[in-house]
Amino acid sequence: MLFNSLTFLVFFAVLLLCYGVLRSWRMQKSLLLVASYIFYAAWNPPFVVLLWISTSVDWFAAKRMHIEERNGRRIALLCVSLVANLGLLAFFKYGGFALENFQNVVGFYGMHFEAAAPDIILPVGISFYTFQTLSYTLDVYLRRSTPSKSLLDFALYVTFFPQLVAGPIVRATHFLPQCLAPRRATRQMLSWGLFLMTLGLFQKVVLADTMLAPSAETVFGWDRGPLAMLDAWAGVLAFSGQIFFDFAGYSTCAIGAALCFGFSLPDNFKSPYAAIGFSDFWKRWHISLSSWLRDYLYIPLGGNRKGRVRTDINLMVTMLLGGMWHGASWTFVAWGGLHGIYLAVERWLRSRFAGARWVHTFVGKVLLGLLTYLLVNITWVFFRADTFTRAKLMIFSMIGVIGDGAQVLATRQLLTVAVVIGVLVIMQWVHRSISIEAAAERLPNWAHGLVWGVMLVFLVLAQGSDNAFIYFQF
Amino acid sequence: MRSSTSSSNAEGFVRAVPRGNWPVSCVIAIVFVLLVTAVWELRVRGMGYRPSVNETSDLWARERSRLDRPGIDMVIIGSSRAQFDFDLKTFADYFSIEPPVQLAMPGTNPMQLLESVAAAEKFSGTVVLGVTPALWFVPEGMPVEQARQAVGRYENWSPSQRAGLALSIPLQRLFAYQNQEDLKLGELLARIPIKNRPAAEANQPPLLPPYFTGIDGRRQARMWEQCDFGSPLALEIQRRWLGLFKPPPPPPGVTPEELQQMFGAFIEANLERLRVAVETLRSRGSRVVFVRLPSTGTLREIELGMAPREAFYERMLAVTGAPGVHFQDYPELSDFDCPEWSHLTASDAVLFTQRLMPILENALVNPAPVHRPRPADPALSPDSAPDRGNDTVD
Repeated sequence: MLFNSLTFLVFFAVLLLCYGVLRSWRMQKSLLLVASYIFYAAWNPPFVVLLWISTSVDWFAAKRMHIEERNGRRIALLCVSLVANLGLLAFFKYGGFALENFQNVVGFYGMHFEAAAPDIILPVGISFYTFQTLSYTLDVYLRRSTPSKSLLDFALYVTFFPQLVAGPIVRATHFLPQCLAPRRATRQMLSWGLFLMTLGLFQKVVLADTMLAPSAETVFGWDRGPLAMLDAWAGVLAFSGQIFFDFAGYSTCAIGAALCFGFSLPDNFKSPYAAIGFSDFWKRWHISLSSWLRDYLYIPLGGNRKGRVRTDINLMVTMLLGGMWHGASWTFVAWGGLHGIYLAVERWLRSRFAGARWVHTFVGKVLLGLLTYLLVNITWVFFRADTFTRAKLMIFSMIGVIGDGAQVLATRQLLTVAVVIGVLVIMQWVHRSISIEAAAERLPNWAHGLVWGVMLVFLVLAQGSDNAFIYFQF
Repeated sequence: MRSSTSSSNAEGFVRAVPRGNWPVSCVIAIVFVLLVTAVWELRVRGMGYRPSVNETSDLWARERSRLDRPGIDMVIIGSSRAQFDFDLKTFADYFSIEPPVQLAMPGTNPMQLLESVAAAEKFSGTVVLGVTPALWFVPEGMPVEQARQAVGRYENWSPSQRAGLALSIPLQRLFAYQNQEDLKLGELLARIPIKNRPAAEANQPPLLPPYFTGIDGRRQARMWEQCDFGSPLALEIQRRWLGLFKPPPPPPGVTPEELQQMFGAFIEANLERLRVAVETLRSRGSRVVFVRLPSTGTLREIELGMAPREAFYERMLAVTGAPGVHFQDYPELSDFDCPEWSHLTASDAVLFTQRLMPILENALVNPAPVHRPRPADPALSPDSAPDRGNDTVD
């Protein structure tokens, strides 16, 4: 069920009403659990079984792991969890990709192997809930936390509908304690939660889908040769805004929806396009994934504790796998690889120019921030292009090495991209260190109500948009 | 914008809610949006818009899913002319059946729609194929993509999307501003007149006609009366057809000869797909009949140039062995005029369908040979159909 659908609106209103009527905390949690299964089944009912497999395997594995003292047994239990979760992910997400690459490799050596094309439908959000449940088992294995005492609580943690299909990837240590005592949203929380949902939908439906997606689709869908430099850049900038508003919009909706039931979810974005450098960027973009990769991959690999070369290798491995997490395509791996290179180069530059004063001036920060944003846009080309050929053509068009590129965007689209992206970057710099809550507190009620109302009016005007969120496919 | 004022404690992660009277803000927002929406609704009604069901992939998918149950007698496939010019109630009354399932789709190459119907194993009724030759043989682009989207939506139609359609139709029947064709934010923005760069102008997609029809829940289209003969709306739509009904530029590096060869190969492949689909339907006991619907004016001349009758319509009949009814072959069908050159008015659609019924029945009962144009036929003389150009080709 999409947040930006009428079905969800009715589902959410009915659920909120029923949740408010029930008095027993256990009943309320059960209601949320059933509703979450319905939410997921609304896409493809059989895939609910995957949630049950993930939930039951990790529940029993973690429980046994906690009481088991023998290390070998504990490792075996961890392997059961890893194989079950990553196995499902590998089958559904990477099966076709692996087969295609196998065929290419044997073909390279002159052999012919052609298997029937697998007709596998990717279950929505499988990468998100797989990583979420894995963090639980890994935390129990690493003795960072104890297993949940309640299967109901744990099932709700895995399935809680606001974050189920596109995050934030919530840690058990954040969520499970919230299940211990009854949670009821105050009128303040409910109103603020509804505001966040409106803001998230505005970002997704109005800014991403209506304002920016058409330009990005026109440019990346152009298959009749090179593009004019201006159009290529406008398309990439449009995509940078589209993917931010799409994904951040989902996260904001999820946070708002959870708040309406009294639950708190962590932030997933903190003004990423105002980042100064790439280590800063990854503290601001898809925070729940980057912190997951840091805690369960980068640090276990040795992090930065084993020398410069090893640190760079660890960074690269982490980012390549992070790229692969996004999709079964080498273009995503290239996207992750570019970020890995950026991070490694940044580490070197930081050590080389540690004493440079200009870096800490306002102008220096702004210049470095804009450079970061520029380089991030280069990576988006590989993220969005479906082939390396198209990515290469885009890059060449952007740096202007191919003359006579096609002008494909209407002036209206160029202006829209310029205004929306300009305002986005400026707003992110203004709010670089100010939370939305702090900004909201500065507004009088009437102004806040008006801003809210204007966003709702735009949503009413943009009616009928039921485009899926980009990150659902991951 | 950051959105974090939070802390972690024994109760887990806790988000802070900003201070302020948020319930009051909520009330202000609701009052504001209701007021603006009401004003907007009045404004668009003043502009002549009326509530209508939106033509979407979901609506097509719902109609297509009716074929998954046995008992459907008749299906209509084609593009917009088959949606406008056939009156479903007249079909139902004449043949004493339930109204046909309307699966024609505006602006599409209907081949994929036909293949989807051919794949409906529980369906063995009659298929009426509306023919707009120029669209049946479009190899790519929006006409193919739209059909692909509709069939894809049917094949992967989720419970959530089904529910969404059921919930949205009552709203669409209530509010005129829900018109997605013209009044969606994206469409409103696209209408802001800003001059394009000269080189960019050639790469802009042709403008689609503005809203000039209403449809009901069974996808019966009726032309809006504001699109009457000689009206500014009709003239505007005529202008837009000129942009739409023209061959696309050849891909870079392809010579006109190569393009001609590619298109020829596509036509043959398309005819083969058509033959297979019709054969599949017939093997289940279905009857198939083609109907060439009227067009007039300059658009008709363009169609004659793009898709000559012998090379397209006649070949469709020959390849499939199915009967066909060409409006030009029957005096009672050939004296209709289209306000915007392509579709009949609501009242003409009823009359046209009434006149068509006995001809269609005859074609179905006696599938071959069907009526063919004869040069000596007085009904086909230029005098009897002055708007329709060369009557021996289409």
